[in-house]
Amino acid sequence: MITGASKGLGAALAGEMASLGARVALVARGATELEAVAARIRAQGGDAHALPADMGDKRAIHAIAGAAAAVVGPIDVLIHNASTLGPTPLRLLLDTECEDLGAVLETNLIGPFRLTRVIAGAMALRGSGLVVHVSSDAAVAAYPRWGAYGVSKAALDHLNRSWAVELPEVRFFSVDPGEMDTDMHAAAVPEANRATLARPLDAARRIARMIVDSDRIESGSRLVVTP
Amino acid sequence: MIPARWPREDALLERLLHVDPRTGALRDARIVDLPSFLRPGDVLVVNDAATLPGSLRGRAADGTPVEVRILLELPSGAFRAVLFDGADWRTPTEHRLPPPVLAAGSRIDFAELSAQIERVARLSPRLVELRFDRTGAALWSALYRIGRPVQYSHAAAPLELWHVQLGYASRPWAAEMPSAGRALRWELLLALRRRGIRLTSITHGAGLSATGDAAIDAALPMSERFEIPEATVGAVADAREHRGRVVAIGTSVVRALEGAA
Repeated sequence: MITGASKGLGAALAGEMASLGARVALVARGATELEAVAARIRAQGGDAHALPADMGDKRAIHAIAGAAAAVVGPIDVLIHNASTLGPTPLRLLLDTECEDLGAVLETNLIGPFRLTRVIAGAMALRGSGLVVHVSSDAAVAAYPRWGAYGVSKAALDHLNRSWAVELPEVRFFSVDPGEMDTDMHAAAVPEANRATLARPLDAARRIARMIVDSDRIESGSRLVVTP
Repeated sequence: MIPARWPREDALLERLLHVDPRTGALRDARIVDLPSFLRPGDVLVVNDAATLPGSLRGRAADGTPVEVRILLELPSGAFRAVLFDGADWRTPTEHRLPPPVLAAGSRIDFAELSAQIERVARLSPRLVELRFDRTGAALWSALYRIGRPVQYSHAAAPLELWHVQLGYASRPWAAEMPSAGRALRWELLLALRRRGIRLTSITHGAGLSATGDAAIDAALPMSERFEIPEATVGAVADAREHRGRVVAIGTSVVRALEGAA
């Protein structure tokens, strides 16, 4: 299962995992875009299913987990890729409304927590499973105006470590995919020269490789995709 | 009997009755005491079926309200279901009025999807096979948007899906919650595993507990879908070979294990 799968890194990861033979359940808010990604994967011979939902919506969590298990079977790999920057252009913390910080945490931190909570139990019972948290450089380094997003990703990294120490039956890692040419990057840094940025597909291939080799990764690790 | 009107806040305090098989002695205990009854080498088998949002409110072609309760998804992609009248959860199942009689070919419209009845059972006109107007992810997304778990008139309020999901639920096969597992918090399960008790699972699509229709209720439980993973078969065989005990969490696990024995 891949969240935030309608574009950018999520869509690329969905294609990569499907090409490796995984049945993929795709989650994102935009139903039309998401169905297009699933259709593209199916056209290439993959097995992909679109489940439109908002990761920030508490009421959607059991629907996402249940519908995915109904169509692809028990979830073996859960990739938390969905995230939001909050209002753009990015704002200084003193200009950030509490509600905006709350909404960023809801999607980037609490949503992944809720979804893992309803999926990792079955993984632990089976004695296998992998949960991947897509993090960011902003989780480690503090940049002006990236406060809300950075805080959410720093907390996501720590959530990753906390799951790993509590649940040894399931493997967890978080990964910083590096700067990529995505809609999200363009919204955050509109002045960036997109031609100099890495393609999401390259990062997706590296992350897919980490997933395939994940039994060699210590659970709770934070990995970085280096260009 | 005093019905449990709402899930207990602290599940570990749910009650557990221990019956000594040799002496018949009874011990009134709590779920939190479960580890004291088990020993290393025992195998605990749980049902990891998630509970379906299987209660759907719709209307027959003439506008009569009808509740459909899903029993089982059939290999053909059709669903076996039981029809109820349009009353809400506050009316006990046994007091519900007969639903409209819907022949094969009849259509039921729901908020955002519809279904056609393909077959009506000889057992009762309320037991039907129906097919929705979509399949796969589109169908399941819609079922989760419009469906609710089966409700109980003894409950203090309507139950939401999260009230009836277990901490290790996976595929939504159960028409009603496999409730014996509700009290098994992970704190307890991981403590059991650390003590050398093996945790394994089966997936059993437990059917409806009651329908208020004498003919259907006499035939319950009907054929149910279940799957026993190889790891569970191995764990049970191991336990038997080494005089460990197999502890089935709930009747749905017993039915699946007995069905496969």
